[in-house]
This record gives sequence, C-alpha cells and structure tokens, in this order.
Amino acid sequence: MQKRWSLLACALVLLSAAACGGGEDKDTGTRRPAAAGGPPGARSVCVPSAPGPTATAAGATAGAVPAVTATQTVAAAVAKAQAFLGTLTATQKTAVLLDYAALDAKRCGWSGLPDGEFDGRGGLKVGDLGVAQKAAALAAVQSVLSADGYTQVLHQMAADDVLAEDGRLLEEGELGQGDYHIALFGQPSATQPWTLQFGGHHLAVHVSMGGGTVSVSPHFSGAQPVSFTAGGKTIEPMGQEAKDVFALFKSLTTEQQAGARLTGTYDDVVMGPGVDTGYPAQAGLPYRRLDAKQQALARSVIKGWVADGAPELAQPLLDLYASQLDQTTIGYTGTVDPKSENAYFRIDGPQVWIEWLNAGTGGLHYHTVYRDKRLDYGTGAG
Amino acid sequence: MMRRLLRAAALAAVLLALQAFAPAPAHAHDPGTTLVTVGSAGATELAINAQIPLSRIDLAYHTRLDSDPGPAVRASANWLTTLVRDRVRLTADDGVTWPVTVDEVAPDQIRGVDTARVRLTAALPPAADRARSARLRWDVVTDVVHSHKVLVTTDAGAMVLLNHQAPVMRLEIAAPPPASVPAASMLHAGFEHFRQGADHLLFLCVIALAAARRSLRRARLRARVTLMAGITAMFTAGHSVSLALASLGWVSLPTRVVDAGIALTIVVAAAHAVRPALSARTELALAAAFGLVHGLGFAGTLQRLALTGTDLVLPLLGFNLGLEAAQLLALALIAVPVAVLARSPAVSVTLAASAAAVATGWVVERAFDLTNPVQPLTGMLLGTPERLAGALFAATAVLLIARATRPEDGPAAAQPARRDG
Repeated sequence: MQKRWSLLACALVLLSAAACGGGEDKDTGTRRPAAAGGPPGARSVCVPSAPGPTATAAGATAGAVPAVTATQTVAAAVAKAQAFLGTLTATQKTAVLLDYAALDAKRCGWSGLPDGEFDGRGGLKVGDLGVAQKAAALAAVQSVLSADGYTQVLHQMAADDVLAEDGRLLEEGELGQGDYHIALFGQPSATQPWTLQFGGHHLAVHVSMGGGTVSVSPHFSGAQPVSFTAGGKTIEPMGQEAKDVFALFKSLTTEQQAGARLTGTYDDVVMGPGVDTGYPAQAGLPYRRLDAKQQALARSVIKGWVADGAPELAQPLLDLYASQLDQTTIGYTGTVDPKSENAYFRIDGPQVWIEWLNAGTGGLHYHTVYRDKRLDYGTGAG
Repeated sequence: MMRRLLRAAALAAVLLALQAFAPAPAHAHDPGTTLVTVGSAGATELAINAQIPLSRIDLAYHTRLDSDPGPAVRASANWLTTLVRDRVRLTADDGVTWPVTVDEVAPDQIRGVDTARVRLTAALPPAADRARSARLRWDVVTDVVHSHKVLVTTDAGAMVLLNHQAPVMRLEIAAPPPASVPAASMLHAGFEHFRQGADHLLFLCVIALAAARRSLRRARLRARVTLMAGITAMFTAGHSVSLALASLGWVSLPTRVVDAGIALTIVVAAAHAVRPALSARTELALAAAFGLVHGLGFAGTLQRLALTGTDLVLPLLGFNLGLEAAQLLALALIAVPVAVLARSPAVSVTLAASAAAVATGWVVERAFDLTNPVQPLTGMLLGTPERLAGALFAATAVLLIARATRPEDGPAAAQPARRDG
C-alpha cells in the first residue's frame, strides 16, 4: 500500500510541476537575461496596432455618415432582440448584454478562427442555449440581415458541422453549430445605438443601429468547405461572391492587370480580427479605369458583402460607397485562378474596404472581410 | 521491488513528457504569428527573442525550412542570421542606429508550430545616461507577407502588434545604472541570477536530496541540518573563489564548456543522491569542487560589466551575498519537502532520475551544441524556486496523507533506504 502511495507521489511531483509550468516560457537555460524568455503562448491575442508611418487612422479619414430611415428594420430588430432577451435567465442576460461604448470588447470579441483556436468571444454560446433560446437568438440575427445574408450565415454554420464531422481539423467539440456566439452591445433600442455581434468559425457579423446609427461592419465571412452537399443539394456559402470576384479579375486586360497588381504576399486578410487601424496606403487600379461591364461587376462585388445587412441599413451604405467610386480602387496579387492558394483581392475606397483571400492552410477555402473605415462597430474604428 | 519502482518512475516521466510535447490540435487556419519579447539584459544591452514560424519564412523567401525543421534551420543558420539582422532596426530618438547582433538561431516549436528561435542583442550606446525611448522596426517576413502579424511583448508588460503597414513601435529604455556599480544593485543582480539559473536550482535540489537521504541512516535532525549547512558553505566557498578569479579575468573558459561542466555536476550529484555512499568529508570536498565549476558560470553577469581591480571588490561581495541569500531562501523552501520525500525511495529515485535526465540533456546540448531534447521539461519544473517547491510540497502532502490514512505502513516507511542500499 505504501508503495502505491509513493508512486502516486512520484507522478504528482512531475505532473503538478507540469501543470503549474504549462504555457510558461521554455527558454529556461542557465543565464537567461531578465525578461528575455520565450514568448507567451499567444492563443487569442488582441492588441491595438501600432500606428505606423503609412497608417491612415480611421478617425482621420474623411468620410460620411449616411442618413438613416430604417425605421421598420430597427423596430423589427429591437422586437426580436428583446424577445431573445426575454427567453434568458438573469445570469444569461448579464452575460449577453454588454456596454455599447466598450469598443475594445467588440474589437477583441471576434475572429475568423474557431473556438478551439480563439477564446476571446463574449456573450452567449449557441451551444449553451435551450431550443427556444437558440431559435430566438437566430431570429434576432435574421432580423438584422438580408435574406441572402442570413442564408449565408446558416450555410457557414452548416459548413462548420461538415468540418466537425470530418474531424481532421480540430478535436471534437471545437467546431460546429454550437460554437457560435451572440452578444448585444447596448440595450436594443430605436433611439439609442446598439450593436448585435454574432460570430464563430469563419463568421463575424456586426450590425449597429438605433438613434440614427447605421453600420453593418466589420463583417468577416469565410467558407470552408467552399462547396458541400446537404439534403441532396450542393451548397456554396459564398458561391455568388466567388463568381463575381473571379469574373471581375479575370476580365482585366493586361494593362489593367499591371495597374491592379499589389505588392507583397498575403496569407490572410490584412484588416482582419485584431487589426482595426493602420489601413494600407491606397493602391491598385482606379474604378474609373474599368469598362462599364467591369464597373457593374465591381459594384456587384461590393453589394455581395454590404447587402448581407438588412436592406434598409445596407442601402444607404451602398449609396454612400457608390458616391465614392471615383476614389475607389481594386487590387490583386497577380493570380486570377480561383483555385490558387494565397490569391488575394481587395476593394479600397474612402470608406469601403473588402478583402478576399484564398486561404491555403487546412485545404483551400475563403477568408473575406468587409469593413468601413469610418463606421465599423457603429462607433468607428478609431 | 526496485524494478517496479523504476518502471513507475519511467511511466511518470513519459506521462509528463507527453503533456509537455503534446502538440496543439492541427491548426485550422491560423497561419502563425511571429512572437517577439524585448527586455533589458544587464545595464548595457537589450535582449530580443523571436519565434518566427518556419512556414512563414518559406512563404516570404521561397525556402523549404518547414519540410525538415531541425536540420534545415541549423543548416541555414547563417542565412537566417543575416536575414534577421538586416531586418531588425533599433533607432534612438537622435537618429543613431544601435548595432544589433544575432546571438542564436535554433529550431523550436510554439504550440505545435515549427519556428526559428532567434535571440538578438542590441548594445546601447555608452553615453546612455538618462531614460529615453527608441524605435524598434521589424521587417522579418512582414516585408514580403503583408498580412503577417508580429506580436511584441516588452518586459514592462506592453503588447504591440506590428505588421507590414505598421512595422515600428516605441520602446522606453530604462536609464542604465551609473558607472560605479553600487553593491546594493549587485546584491539584487546576484539574487536574480540564482533565481534565473535553472541549473543552479536543480543542483541545489539534488544536493539537498542527497544530504537528506544520507542522514536518514542517523535519522537525527541536527546531523542532517549540519551536513546540509556544511555542504552549502563549501559550495559557497568554492564558487566565491572561482567567481573572483573569473571576474578578474584570470581564469577564462568557453561558456559552453563551463555550462556543460555545471550540468555534469548535477548528473554526478543525482547519482550520488540515489546511493549516498561517500563519507561526509568527501561529500564536502565534492561540494567545494562543484562550487568552483558553478562559480565560473556565475561570473558571466559580472564580466559583462567589465570591471577591473578594486572596482570589483564591492560588486563581487554584493553579488555573492545576493546569490547566497537566494540560495538559502530556495533551500529553506525545498528543505522540508525534500526531507520528507527522501524517506520514500521511490520518490527519491524519481526525483534524482528526472534531475539526471534534465542535466544530461543540458550536457548534450551544451557540449555538442545540439538541440536539447528535454528542454520543454526544464522550463516547467525549474522556472522559479517557488514552482519547484510547490511541486515538492504537493508530493509531500500526498505522502503524508498516505501515512495518515495507513498508519500500519508507518514503521516500514521509516527505514526505506536500508532496503534499497
């Protein structure tokens, strides 16, 4: 008996040390200089970007706030959000209702990564909700999006279930429908601004409204798998967007290609999660150098992201971006092959910013983001 | 019985190793971030450590390091050194660029991602006599991969994200100490030096174990304490002599040799701890000899200050006292649990075997300039004296609970050494 306890003590010596040492720096050599150990295990990091010489502070960008008359949408969204809150316990309500002014909580609460690789999401997890609560949560999400936008969200969540069943990417329980989160920043109201945040793997929706506020960004959307079968139907969560983007860039003449080509290599979107300031200097081919058909495609690309928001909110933004098209450029990295890993496209206007990346890691799929340099989060990024 | 114990010890070691090496689940998308830490190293240097994902170096510069990480990184060490040196700039507010040197490039892993670990040093200009700031510019990988992120953590706890658009950050540089080094600051330096030297700590632990095991035969508290104190004193005497000699520059051995020697003393001491066969006098002599070796290691910090002659006396005294204080505190922390644990042969063998394994890893790493296979283990066990003591106390608690719940095992447990020996 004594021996058995001794063995337990042996194991404990080792394992308890491992437990309290886990995640610490590994650089424990002999003469380690002060504070020069290994880096932290950066699991979910969100820090402000350092303003650099080329950085254009979003707050300094000349931009406009469109006038909003989205009364129907706002009224419906407020009703759905309040109905959702009505299904929650007091504890859940506290968790889901966050401060509208808490910009850092919004900024650091989304990512394109799944929960297994990003633990910064706030609010409530869909997987922790009851059936009625989940239905009410999704109804609230539906009320702030267009029909296309909501269908895309459902398809993205379904795609994550496909990934979860596949089982190769992450361990069980780190992917799937349940790992999407909803948070409300500010009490749902027609007269005071509030933001609905919904996101998980390959998805981050932000819609802000109330008191004249209008914003449907940042909107991160990805698709993995890019195509799958469910209920006998082939589903491509971002099929239409892919069609438009590749059609636009394939249509470029050699001369246009030279103008649109961006420097650098891209393995992700630049203005993704955790990066809210420091937009790259404008580059690429001016919109006015596209022919009429190409211009229509470019507008269609912009609509593909912006119009995921509810029409009454999206339309004033689309009108605004349309008025800025003569100051808008398109850019790409030099490949127009839809299957090419690290193929990268960008639309850059005074306010609108859309990026597309053919991500390679974990099988070819899409990472995209739509941002408004002035209106992100409803409060602006700066 | 011995075989069963050893098998159990091996099993425990494997369990720990599995936990240490278990990779994060396959990475879905995160293409990998460069992680950088910046801190002051001594009075005149800035230490910069970077972990750069190999796949991102490959993407940026069309290399193939990630396909065969260890050998490829070692084979490309010179190229990597130049790559990093040319892309990291430290500029003072007056526009003066500080020289940056790359001290080490080695293969490593962070959360299952293969990286190149790069250690850089920036020498601060000698005229730095007041607090001021500098600009760190980082262009490794980000010069080509515009979406790559570099997370910089400073020793002040600040975190800044750099990328292609924003490659520059401000660093506040603390004022260096005045030219004549006060003994008080050296006291602190000595204290911290011991705390940061994993090998000194491991050596202390093994020595304490040997002393505890040895005195079990007499089972007299006083003899045990006397022996431990004697060994500590002899060790101190040894390292004081060599520390003085090395600091004055009279003795100079390559760091690698000294470090390998220190690690070797731990292996020997661990073997001795399992079977304390030496006489008390021989053990004291050995402690003095080991002290001589460790003293050469302690000297690094002092040598960096480049003091000479009588300027050295007070700093040396302060450094030694600080070292001693840290050593005694660490000993006080671990003495009780080690004394209790030493009563169980199984635990003693496990402790000694782990210490020997870790130290052997160091010997191999330092003598042959190879990657240390057990390095991830050492950081966990030996990060600080408190952590080691915590682990030992936990094990002690289990042993004591065992005895409390099984009083009939008590007498058998009191004399375990005899059965082993």
